[in-house]
Amino acid sequence: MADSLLIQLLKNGRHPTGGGTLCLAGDCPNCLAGVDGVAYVRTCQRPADPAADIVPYGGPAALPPLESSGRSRQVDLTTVHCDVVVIGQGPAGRAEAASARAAGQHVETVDSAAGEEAIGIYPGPLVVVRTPAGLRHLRPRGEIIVATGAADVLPVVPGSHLRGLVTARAIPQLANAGIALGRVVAVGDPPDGIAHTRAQGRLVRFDASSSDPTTVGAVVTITDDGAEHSVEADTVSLGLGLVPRDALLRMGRGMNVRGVGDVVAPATAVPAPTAGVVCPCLQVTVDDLASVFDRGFHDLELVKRATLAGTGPCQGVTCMPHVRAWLEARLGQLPPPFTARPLTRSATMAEVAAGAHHAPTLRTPLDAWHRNAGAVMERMGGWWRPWHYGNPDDEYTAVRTAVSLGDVSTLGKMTVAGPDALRLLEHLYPVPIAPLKTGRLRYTFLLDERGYVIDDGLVCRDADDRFYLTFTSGGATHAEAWVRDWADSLGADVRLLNETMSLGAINVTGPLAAQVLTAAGAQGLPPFGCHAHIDVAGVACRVLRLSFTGEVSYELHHPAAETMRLWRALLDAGADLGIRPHGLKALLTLRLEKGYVIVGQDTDFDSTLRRIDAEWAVSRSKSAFVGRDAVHRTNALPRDRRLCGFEMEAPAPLEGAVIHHADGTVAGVVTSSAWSPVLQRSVLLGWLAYDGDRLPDAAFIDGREARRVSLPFYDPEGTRARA
Amino acid sequence: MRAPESIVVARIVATPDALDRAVWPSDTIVCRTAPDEVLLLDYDAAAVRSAVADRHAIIRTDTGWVGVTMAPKEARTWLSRNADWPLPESSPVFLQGLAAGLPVKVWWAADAVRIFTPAPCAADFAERLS
Repeated sequence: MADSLLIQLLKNGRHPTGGGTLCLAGDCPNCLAGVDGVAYVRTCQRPADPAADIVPYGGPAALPPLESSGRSRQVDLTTVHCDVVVIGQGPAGRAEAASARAAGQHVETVDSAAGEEAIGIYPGPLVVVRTPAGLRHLRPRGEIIVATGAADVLPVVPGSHLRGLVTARAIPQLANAGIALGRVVAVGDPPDGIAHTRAQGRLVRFDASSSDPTTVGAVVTITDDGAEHSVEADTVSLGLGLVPRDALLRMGRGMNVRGVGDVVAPATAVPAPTAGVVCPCLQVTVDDLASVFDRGFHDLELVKRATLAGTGPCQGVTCMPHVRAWLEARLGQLPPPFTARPLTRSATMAEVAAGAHHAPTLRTPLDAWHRNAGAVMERMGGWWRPWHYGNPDDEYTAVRTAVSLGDVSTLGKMTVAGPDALRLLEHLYPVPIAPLKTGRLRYTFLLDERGYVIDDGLVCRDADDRFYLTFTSGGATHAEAWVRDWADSLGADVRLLNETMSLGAINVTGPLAAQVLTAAGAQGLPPFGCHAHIDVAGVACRVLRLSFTGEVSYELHHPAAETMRLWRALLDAGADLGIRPHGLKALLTLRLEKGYVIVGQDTDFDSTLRRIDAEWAVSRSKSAFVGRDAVHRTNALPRDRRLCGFEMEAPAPLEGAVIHHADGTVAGVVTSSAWSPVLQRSVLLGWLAYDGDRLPDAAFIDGREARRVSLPFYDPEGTRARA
Repeated sequence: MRAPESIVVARIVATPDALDRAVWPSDTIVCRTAPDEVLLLDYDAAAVRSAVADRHAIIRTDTGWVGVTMAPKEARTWLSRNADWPLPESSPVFLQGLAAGLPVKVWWAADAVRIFTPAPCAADFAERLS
């Protein structure tokens, strides 16, 4: 068998942690080192590598360095579904695996001899396995069999930090590797095949060598007659007994996990320690145990938390037998082992992140066009969207004075059909839907049961029993779930199809919008408040006529694969009219001038229609809709605050700026703010608290007066959009 | 690994009963994405409409998807590294879920596996295929 990294170090006269009993079985924390930039590597489990960059941890309680960010690496993850997982491939584990395979089951094994280690069992169940090739996620349909054997009991006496201490099971490995052992003294069970002297009596301490204070020089024991005996030693073999290596077994409690072999054998009873370091990972001493016990921490779990014994890299393998024995001596009862939770081994960030992906930011069919056009892209509402194309002022001006295109493919889109389609929508929306004639559309809000605004959008009627809905870009997923939930709750006989990602949408907006569409071949454009199915530039579109910009607007909803062709055709059709695309920056100013709210930006989690000054959007006579009772109840309460329009001189305050009353008290916050090119003043939306029953006419933002004004700021009669 | 390409599917939302009873044209690949929804590949648009006995059914030709076709062995390798759901032991079969953090649908046939996702995820899909 090839040498381990630990053997390599020992041959070179180096001890990874400076001292402490070595087990060479992956249990103790005394061979940990930083290896190739990865902290807490068990060098006894890693093949020798002369080129490895090894950082020994040195003396007691030395904190290892964290993994260098420059050395982060991707870790591959493979998921395997199987019938049975057998962890451990000693005699017991091999027998279980063979038996299961003979029964025709798909068995996955975890073999430490192959460099594999199970580092956690999670509900699912899921067994996380570290291998030299990366992580494996084993998902068994049946049993997880733990055959991890037993670990050696390590000594807790003064001097247990010295070099030259090795478990009896490990000593032959050192000898076989050619490491000079010198005078070997055995404490407890002796090592196989190694010449040694046996120490008599109970272990008391290790004394350092007179020539090297870091290395053991003698073993001191005490016999039943009270006499102390000191035996000179270069290497001490420690056969103090075994404790089940059962962390995974305890971790899998409540799951289909079974232990076999030594992992379920009784542990060796260890004597209560009287002095020395109990937890070498965190240097917890017997005195520390006494200290927390005397302060009232008597439960094993509490002692663990108070001292941190058991929370280090070895996860209690070394210390727990001694802490339990110590508590047994105090309480007269051996406490059960403490809870085991994943992970049993330190993991790198790369391992933790293995197989994880960030949620994608969605891209419209025009994403590449926007980027090629030099757009500054922003993530908004879960989508990449063009913020501007280099000159947002010109984009704004194009909308107000000529014509512009906006990519609104991100809007939520849903078709609702069926005998109960109308009943469902009547229940969802606070305005009557029945009067909406086929071919008409209306803007409306969605409320929750408490009457709070959760989304807004359009309802388009296609037929008596068929509708097309739109939602906000960021709210589309929730809105779909909302509609589906209510359809289920009502037992509505409807068909629901989310078409958000299937359809592109382009907003053609500006005084010359109709000219562009006509030039692109559109015939029979719908009047304001209507929608129609029309071919534009040879693309079948649903054209919706409403406006979010305050100018004439036509939204063209169409198959996503046609978006690029339609976009280019519209740009061509409007080339002589000064057409250009606009980004969100311009759009947000355009809509703000009209006083239109953006749900989620201007609204809060408790915004009612009354608070956002949209009482027109609720029907008082409608007998039932989601949030109706709450709307009627809250409308009867005294007014407390309202979303208002404000005007100021330049500069426009930042969104989020605090709004004050004249007396300096906080009145609210600015939710939207922009300099209005057409009005030549700053326009804002913001929350304003009532002063008694009166809404102040002015407030102060950044120490400057803001005048409260009626909305909209621009074109209050709405003639431009309806033109 | 090849780049994903646009694909055209048919999406049909109808009553579960109507979908259970539908007799699809031969060679049509039928992916039952939900009790009340199917997604069809390699379909004849004209024949599809008459297959569903639900006058309220929503039937759409949907161009908002991208997909790749892989050999089963290649698909098994990619999915075992990017999805935590069980892979099929027989075919043909339809699967769906998250793979590489993306919502994917999988048509697993004996000789080829088609993996597709909504077009707005195309760029991430391409990146995560490699």
